[in-house]
Amino acid sequence: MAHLKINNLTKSYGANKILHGISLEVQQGEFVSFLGPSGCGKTTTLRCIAGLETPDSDSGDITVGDKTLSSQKIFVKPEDRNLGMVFQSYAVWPHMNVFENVAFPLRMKKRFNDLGHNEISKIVSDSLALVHLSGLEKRFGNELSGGQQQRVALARALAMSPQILLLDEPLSNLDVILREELRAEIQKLQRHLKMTTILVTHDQREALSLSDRIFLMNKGKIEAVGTPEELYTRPPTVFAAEFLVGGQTFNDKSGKPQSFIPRRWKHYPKPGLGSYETQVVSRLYLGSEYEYWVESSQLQGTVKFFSAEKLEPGSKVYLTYQ
Amino acid sequence: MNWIFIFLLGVFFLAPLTGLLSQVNAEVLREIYQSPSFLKSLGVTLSSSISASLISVIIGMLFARQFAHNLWRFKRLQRLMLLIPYLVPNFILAIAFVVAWNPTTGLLNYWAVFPGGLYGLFGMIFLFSITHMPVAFLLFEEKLKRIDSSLREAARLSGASNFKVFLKIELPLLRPAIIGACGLCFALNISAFAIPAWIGAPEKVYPLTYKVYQAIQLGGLEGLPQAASYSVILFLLSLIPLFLGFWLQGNEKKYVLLSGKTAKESSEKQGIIGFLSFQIWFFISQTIFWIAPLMCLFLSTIVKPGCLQSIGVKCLNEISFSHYKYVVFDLAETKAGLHGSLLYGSLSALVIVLMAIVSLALFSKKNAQLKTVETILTIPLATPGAIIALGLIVVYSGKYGVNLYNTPWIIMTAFIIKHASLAFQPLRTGLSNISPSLFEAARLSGASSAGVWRKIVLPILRPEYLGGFFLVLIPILGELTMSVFLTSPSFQSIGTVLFDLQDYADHASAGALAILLVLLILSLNELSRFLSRGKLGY
Repeated sequence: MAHLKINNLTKSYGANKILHGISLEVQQGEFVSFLGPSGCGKTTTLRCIAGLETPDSDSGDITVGDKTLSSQKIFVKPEDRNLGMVFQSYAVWPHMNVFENVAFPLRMKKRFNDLGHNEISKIVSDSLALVHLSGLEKRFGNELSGGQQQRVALARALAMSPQILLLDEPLSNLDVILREELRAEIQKLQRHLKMTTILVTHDQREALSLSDRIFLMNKGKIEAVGTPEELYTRPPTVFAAEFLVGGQTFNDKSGKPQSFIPRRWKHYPKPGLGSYETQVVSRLYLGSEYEYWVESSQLQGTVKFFSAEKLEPGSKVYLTYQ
Repeated sequence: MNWIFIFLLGVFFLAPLTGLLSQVNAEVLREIYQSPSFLKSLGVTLSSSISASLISVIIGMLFARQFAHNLWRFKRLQRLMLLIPYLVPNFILAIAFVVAWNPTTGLLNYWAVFPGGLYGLFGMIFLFSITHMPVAFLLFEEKLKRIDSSLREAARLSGASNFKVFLKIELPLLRPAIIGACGLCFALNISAFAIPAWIGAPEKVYPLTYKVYQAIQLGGLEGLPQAASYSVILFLLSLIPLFLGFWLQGNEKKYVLLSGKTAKESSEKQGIIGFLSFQIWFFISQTIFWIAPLMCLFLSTIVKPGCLQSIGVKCLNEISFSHYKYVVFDLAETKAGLHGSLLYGSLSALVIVLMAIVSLALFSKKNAQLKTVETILTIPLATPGAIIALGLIVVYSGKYGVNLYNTPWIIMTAFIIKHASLAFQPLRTGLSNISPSLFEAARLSGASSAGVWRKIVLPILRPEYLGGFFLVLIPILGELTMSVFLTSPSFQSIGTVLFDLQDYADHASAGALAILLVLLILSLNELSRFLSRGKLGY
């Protein structure tokens, strides 16, 4: 049985419909991502799961395990849902130190009522050890770096051993190096704890590298679902190809629109079977390879492809799609 | 050059304060501070101001929480309703309460007696609380909106109920705002004159502002040393919130709250029971705070005097708007008051806005100088009006070569000194919101420094200075404290005309004029909102 099940979730702000009937299932221990451009409804879906947004009155159900969290008749308050969440803006309470921040859910949740001070301390230091923050218990938010604050938020979410961990673009406020570091750690932690995790992101690399499965979202709907490999190598829709792989859409030789993935073009100095004649417009050096933009009258547009070989702008090349 | 400008600004704004302090006479001072009547009025000032500030802060915070976190259909209208006791001049609300609940002829006594009687300390605390509650509300609402919503959401997901979130997250984060709001309400309460005059005086409950007024009223200019002595202690009290404000500004960094994704209003639905109980509490409180009193005031202007008390609602069969006709067309004083308030008020507002623009243009890039100007402009706002008025009498009565006493110019000076920072603040905020790249692009396009201001900054700031003009004009129209001291044959304000009409016991005409003034102020508020595209006004 699926751990999280969403059935026909709809959400509107006034007359503006944000979610058009989202249905999905997430298995126990699975790491999934909601990936899509800004405004596609991924954060709204996550906030509906958390109970921070109220779905429309005619919306379908959200269930976790055998408990319905939200339906036309039921709405479980966020504090009663047992879901951990990490926000983009860290949300580390500035008037509490690290220890108090992480201990807060243990002091609030009813199921932790009989925990004594020592047990709470133990859980807090375990959680802080998991995110490598041991020893910083007394620090306040303004004495921590962005990366450390996000680790506090992660420790706080983990401390209450939630049924599902919700990550709302947790890495996008961090610089590149910190982002890579924390990304690797989140993956390690998730594999270690086997905690069902949902990540919201607009970053393809993040979703591809972390997820067991990706829910690709567009305009309030789920556009495609699959493992990172499936979606990357065989994008099922034009949007999936464009968004995930940087695909370009042109009319092929038969005149039908087709999505072309830049990495599948091979170039030859001479025409071959089914090849397109093109002329190099520009060349960008990327370190391990070059990115080329070429013009083709047959494809009626500017085509992008990659090659390790150095070609001169203005020269003619023949592209074959594989 | 710039420091010369600042020096002149300082002399202009702070002269009345120093002038008044120069009148303090050690002998009179000792005599007064030892008198039981002084200690009594100090006690009245402190007890009424402190308790009313606390009440305003508690009620204001509860309302702010509802308004900052929830969306519903008539929110803007209800917000405006909440602010009416602040928008309407204090003396009008005081008059309305007198009409509704005075012990002998109050229109509402039949249905509900004012607990403990309207006149006296309790009534004064009650009116201070409701007139200044909106100030606390506005402060809390702004701060609550600035608390990143994820701080609350993280607490909810950690298992905290709505009430616990308030207790454990919002209340500690609001601590600076709570101290600030207490200070602000305290400053307004100790400098209030109208409420003590209408509600305290009938029971001989005199706070310090009223003592200052009495000293001048009984002794004329001879009473100055006595009035100055009362003012000294009033001034020292007014410094408390001012220093609190500066201290908080210095410590504000600890409480920077917005980070990352900008907080948006949560759409999490408020439970129906919570919403209904808020609405019930809202309408009951607003009915008591201003709807019922202002309705009574209005009714008293359209029926015959004493009629409602004797035969009740049957009076409404014979309503007449003759008092309105009388005050608008026949009463010479109304014309003088309107002329005085509107002409000199508008001129003052104009000078204030121009002065703010010039100061900002001169110092926009010089933080230390800008800060000095801001401090100079803020001190008079925190100083009780009575002190400013007396100080002006001292300084501009010819003793130092300038005689403005008994001319309208002295009241204009008072208006400018007291209200200058009201226009300065929004313009300063507006200016700091303009990206420096807009200036730089204009300079690179060939505009001079002055050209940048004329062609780029002023057009962008138009909403702020147009709205700011009315934002200053509104409190000037409702001004009474300074006008009472500075009124002269050549100058009367709407406030002083009303004050006199009440004194001559022409209550119906006073009521009619008050109602007209309320309508005028509400229209100006809407105009300010419209001109500033919703940035200013309420």
